[in-house]
Amino acid sequence: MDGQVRLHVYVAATAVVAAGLVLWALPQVAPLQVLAVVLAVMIAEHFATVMRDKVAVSLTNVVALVAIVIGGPALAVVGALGAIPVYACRSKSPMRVTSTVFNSSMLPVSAAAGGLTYQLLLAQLGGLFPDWRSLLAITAAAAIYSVVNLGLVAGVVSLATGDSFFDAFRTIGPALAMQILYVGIAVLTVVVIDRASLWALLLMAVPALIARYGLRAFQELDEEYERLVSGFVKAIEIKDLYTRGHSERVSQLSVHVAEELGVGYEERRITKYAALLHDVGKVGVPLCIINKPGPLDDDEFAKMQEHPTIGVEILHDIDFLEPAIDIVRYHHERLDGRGYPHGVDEEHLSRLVRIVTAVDAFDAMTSTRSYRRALSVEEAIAELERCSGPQFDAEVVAALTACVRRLDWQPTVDFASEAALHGAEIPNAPVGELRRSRGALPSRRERRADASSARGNGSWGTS
Amino acid sequence: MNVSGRIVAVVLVVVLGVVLGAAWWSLDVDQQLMLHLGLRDIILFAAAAAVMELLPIRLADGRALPTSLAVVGAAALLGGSPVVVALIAVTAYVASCLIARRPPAVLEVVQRAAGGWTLAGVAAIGAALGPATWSGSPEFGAAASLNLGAAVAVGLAVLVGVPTVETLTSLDTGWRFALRRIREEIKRNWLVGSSIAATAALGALVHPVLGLWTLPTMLLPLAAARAGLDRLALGQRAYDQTIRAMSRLPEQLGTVLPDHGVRVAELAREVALDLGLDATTVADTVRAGHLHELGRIKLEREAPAPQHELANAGADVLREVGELDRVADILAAQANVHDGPRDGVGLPARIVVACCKLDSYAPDPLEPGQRHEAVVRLVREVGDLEVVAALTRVLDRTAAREPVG
Repeated sequence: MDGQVRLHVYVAATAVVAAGLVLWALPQVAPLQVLAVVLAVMIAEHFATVMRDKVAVSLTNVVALVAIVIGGPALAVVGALGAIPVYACRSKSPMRVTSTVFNSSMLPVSAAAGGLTYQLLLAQLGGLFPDWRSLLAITAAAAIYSVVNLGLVAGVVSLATGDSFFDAFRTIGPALAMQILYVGIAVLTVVVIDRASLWALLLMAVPALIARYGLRAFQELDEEYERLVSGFVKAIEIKDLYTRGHSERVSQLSVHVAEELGVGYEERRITKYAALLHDVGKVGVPLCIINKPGPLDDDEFAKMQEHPTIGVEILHDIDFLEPAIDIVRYHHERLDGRGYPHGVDEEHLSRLVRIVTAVDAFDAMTSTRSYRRALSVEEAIAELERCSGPQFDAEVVAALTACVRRLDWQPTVDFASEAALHGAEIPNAPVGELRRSRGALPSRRERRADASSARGNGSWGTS
Repeated sequence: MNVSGRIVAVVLVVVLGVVLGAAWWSLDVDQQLMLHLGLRDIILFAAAAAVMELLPIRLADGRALPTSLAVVGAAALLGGSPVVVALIAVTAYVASCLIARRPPAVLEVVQRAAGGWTLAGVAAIGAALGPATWSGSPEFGAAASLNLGAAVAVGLAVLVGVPTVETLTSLDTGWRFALRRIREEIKRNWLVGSSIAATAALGALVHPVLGLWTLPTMLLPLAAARAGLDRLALGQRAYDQTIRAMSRLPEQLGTVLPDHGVRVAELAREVALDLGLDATTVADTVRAGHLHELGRIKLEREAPAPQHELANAGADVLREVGELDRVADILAAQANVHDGPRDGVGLPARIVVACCKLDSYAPDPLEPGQRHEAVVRLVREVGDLEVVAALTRVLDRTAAREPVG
């Protein structure tokens, strides 16, 4: 049986179990209560807030717990059907029917598991809401609900992607912690509904809606912020004929590589911005040096080497970038300590720095510069692999290689119009000539020799 | 506001708070607010408030608003006397300081005590004026109950009273524009205030049913609101700090003094406030202050650029950035201030031009000699008396506050 067939069998089995549970539950519930819970589930799912990594936060868990306490597992099972129209309208994937069937089926199954746990524990402990026994039973119900829910999702992810079930299930830890929040809110909701009035739910809705407003407004602001930073970077790059778009590409590819290496969302987000801004210090390097078609002399090269330090000076008081400011500071350093401007070794170079350093070099090699035309992606990868160890992190290079192959990354040749280059000749650079890295910090004698041919020798960095 | 004006404001606030709190004793609180607050509750409320003191909601401007007010408000709604509520507020603050290993500030202790005292009185007055305590009618078990008058009064105190007191005791521009500043402060705080007021009412409502479990459950929705608002404030701070960082771009070209943009922006903020501009325009003026030299990155650094050309180049850069159109308009308008009659040119552009010139005329404008000379030069060369007068007031106030450096 191939993967697709197994996936469909799995979804069908879940749907059959869910349908059986609904048929079992239907005769046990009051129509008005069902209507109320179905509506609540619809509202909770409709207003789900998609946060980072496409993770949606909804209050459906809370609604299910409230239904379990007020009307038992049967009410929670039937009420979960309210999610079907929302899932059907929301899904845009090619497997729309399959995903809608699966998502709609797992809620009744999870609700039944949680509800039966609650009933069983309450019968054993003999508690009465809201004493500690009933609260313990609700907490256990929430945990079982979550385990079943995430277990079903892990199963479908495992079948769809070929990853192991346990890898897919690893998200359970943080998700279980979230249940404490849901349990508390569910207890409050039950008290308000059962002992006060439905109107009093408005008091709970105020902070919940404000939380949602804050998260959504942040997402919008983050998009604005990205446009702002990109806009500034473009404004700075506008006069640099050869590296236009470089920062944007380094940022995009660095995020892919970080994802490949399992870097968490927050770190990836900071890396995106730090990589976007990594060359901002070039604003302090005279344009005649940046756009010089020939080789740089010693003084010009020394001036160029200042740009990471200038970048840090410009960005140092952006608080959220602080954990990643080393990306700007060290993006021309090497693992063997022969980089510039600080000459620090691998101990100082965090994983994020190593990612951006490798991506920066890769983009430089696959872009046309004033001193050579772009290398092919395979040639650039070969160079990165050759320099793994002394200059680049081998694990990062492997991840970068996997990313560019998966994304079908192409060299950047459309850098500026020929007219903008004032007819300057751009030489082809045979790979053999690229065997020396200007990212290294050579001896004074080497540097002098290097300075005269630096531009012609290509670079693993952008300068 | 000068020092004596501020003292008058503080005295007025304190007297009003004491009177409001004292009303608790003259009203029949036992009847109005069903008393549910025992010694065990008081200890638990103080502990919960201490935890919430450590989890304030931060605003974009860096201020931290204590969420412990929700717990203190709930204690007031449950009939706590001014002494008890003030005690909860003060204990929570001192305990949080001890946990965070920082010394408690006397002024903060007084503020917490006054806040708790006042809230208890406000709740009692609301209960006396409003409808009788409302109770649910459950089939079994205790009923939830809440005095709606008291809840509305505490809600108003949190949403309107707190920002008003905050504004009145920190007004820098005298009583002018006080109402506008209060309105803006209420608008700025209303999301946090609404969360706190709703949580206080929710806690008081469910306390008869949940008892001990009230505090850990009532604060969860507030914790969620805190998470959302904190995230938003973080984004807003990053946005503003990035604009501040971008003010350093032209400085790297060597033609602008270090931190010129930051100094101009800070001065422009004070002048804009002094002239009574609204909060949005003040924010745009500050951003224009930061970015007013940005045009230099577009122009050749070797060639000295005329002011109007620089202003237009800066506006062009911002329009290319595409996110700061209003600020771009302010930069473009600077060209008119430099070049010709100022008729029709908005205050933000005139403020930025004056502040920029002052920063170049007087490296230390708080030094009396330099300040006088710079102002005379501004009057002669800029001639914008309205803005120069505001700038002079700002400098005088700053000089009175800070020693000459």
